Amino acid sequence: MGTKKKRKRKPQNNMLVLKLLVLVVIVLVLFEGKLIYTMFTQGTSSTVTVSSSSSESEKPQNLENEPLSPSAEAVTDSGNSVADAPLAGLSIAVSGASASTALQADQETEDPYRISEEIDSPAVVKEQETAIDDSYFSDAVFIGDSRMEGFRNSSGITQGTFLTSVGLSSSGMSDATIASPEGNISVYQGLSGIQYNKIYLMLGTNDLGYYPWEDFLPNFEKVIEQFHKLQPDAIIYICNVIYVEESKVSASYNNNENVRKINGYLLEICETYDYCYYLNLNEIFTNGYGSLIEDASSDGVHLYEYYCKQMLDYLKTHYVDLPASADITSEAEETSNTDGIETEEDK
Amino acid sequence: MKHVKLILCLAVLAFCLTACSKGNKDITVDVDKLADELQSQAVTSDTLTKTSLDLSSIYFVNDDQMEKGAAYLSNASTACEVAVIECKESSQAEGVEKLFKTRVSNQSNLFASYNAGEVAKLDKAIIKTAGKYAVLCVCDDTEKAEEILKNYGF
Repeated sequence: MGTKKKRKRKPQNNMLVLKLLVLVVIVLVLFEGKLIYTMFTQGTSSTVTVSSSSSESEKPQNLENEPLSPSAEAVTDSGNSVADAPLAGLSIAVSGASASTALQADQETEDPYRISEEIDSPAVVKEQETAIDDSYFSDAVFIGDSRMEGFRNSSGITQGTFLTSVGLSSSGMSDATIASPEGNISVYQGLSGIQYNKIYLMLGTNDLGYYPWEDFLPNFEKVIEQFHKLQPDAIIYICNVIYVEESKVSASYNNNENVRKINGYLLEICETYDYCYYLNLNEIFTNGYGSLIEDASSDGVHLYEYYCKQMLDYLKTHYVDLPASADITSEAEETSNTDGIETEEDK
Repeated sequence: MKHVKLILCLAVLAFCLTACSKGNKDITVDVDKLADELQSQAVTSDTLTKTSLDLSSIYFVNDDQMEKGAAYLSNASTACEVAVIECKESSQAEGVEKLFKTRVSNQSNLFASYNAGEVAKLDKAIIKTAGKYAVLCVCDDTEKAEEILKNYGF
């Protein structure tokens, strides 16, 4: 019996409460509608304002006059819409993030500690539009130290002659350090007999800390002149000395200040001798602050496979072609080199 | 009876001589697999790269003597390297062994003045032949390398 009573009374109570609530809402809407509307609009607009102000602080001056992105335009258009306000705030936040990224990029370019690797000299080999393939190296000889040997071993290059040995320096050209089928020979001996059209030279790392520095330039010039004497038809690509990662190098003279000094001499040589061309490898190996890319090498000097492959790619897009050697090049080379060939006259 | 004993002795002697001569072992080796196992398990101080160059330009093995070859080389930061060469005939493996010894000797001389710590590895370089195959392994873990080579019949 008791349960029956409850069942009868409960719906009546619920209905009464519901009616009261509806009444309250109607009264509120009628008399306080304006206040409620103001509360909502003020609340949402303040959210937008906060977002805007936070993004304003990150926004660089130069972006202020830029046309608004579609999302930013939507914020402006629907700024008074209660329903759209939270989304609009989000849009502003996103817009602020992109502005932040732009700012970061600007900071990087304006970073006073960043060192540009651009060299304005006719002796520097410019990037070509068309990359050549390995056949370009079929008449090339690569001469160098352990870094060049590492390039041979790890870059994936399939053609070319290599006269390399670990520890080779500009003063060691006459020493019998190059292994050959006939026993050990010097670089000069290796250049005798066979005629090459290109010489890629990578030396200098073992000359860092050369003493006295004044002697480095004349000694290196002697090497170049001797190469030219032995290979009069060959152009000589001189690779600049790749930066080192100083924290991994034990010898104090193996530092980037010396690298820059020696590269200055190498550039001078390329500007002096019209058959020499400067390959600015640090364009791709710099960390942006005049040092080797972090963790590009286990010992701070010898590049990992990935970077050796990058160097090969660099050589394939940085080359010159001379009218004299054009006759000797194969048909395949000629077809692959038809576009964007820099000639000696351009230098 | 004396003749029988003599024949038996000769037979045993001939068997011993054949067994001792590893170079005449009739084995078949997957050159790429062996080279890869050696470089990945016995070289710990360096990451070697399988070279794409003609091995004759590095080890000076005549192309007409080489059936197949695989070599893993360092970026020159260490003296570690692995080379496995299959000759066309068993008799040519000995010649490749000599070339490997010359290679190790040259590298030792160069590294002595450049990175002396690597000379110890070159001193322990493993150079072996079996049948038509010749192996050079300059590595950190020579015991592991020996174990691998033993499994392959060297």
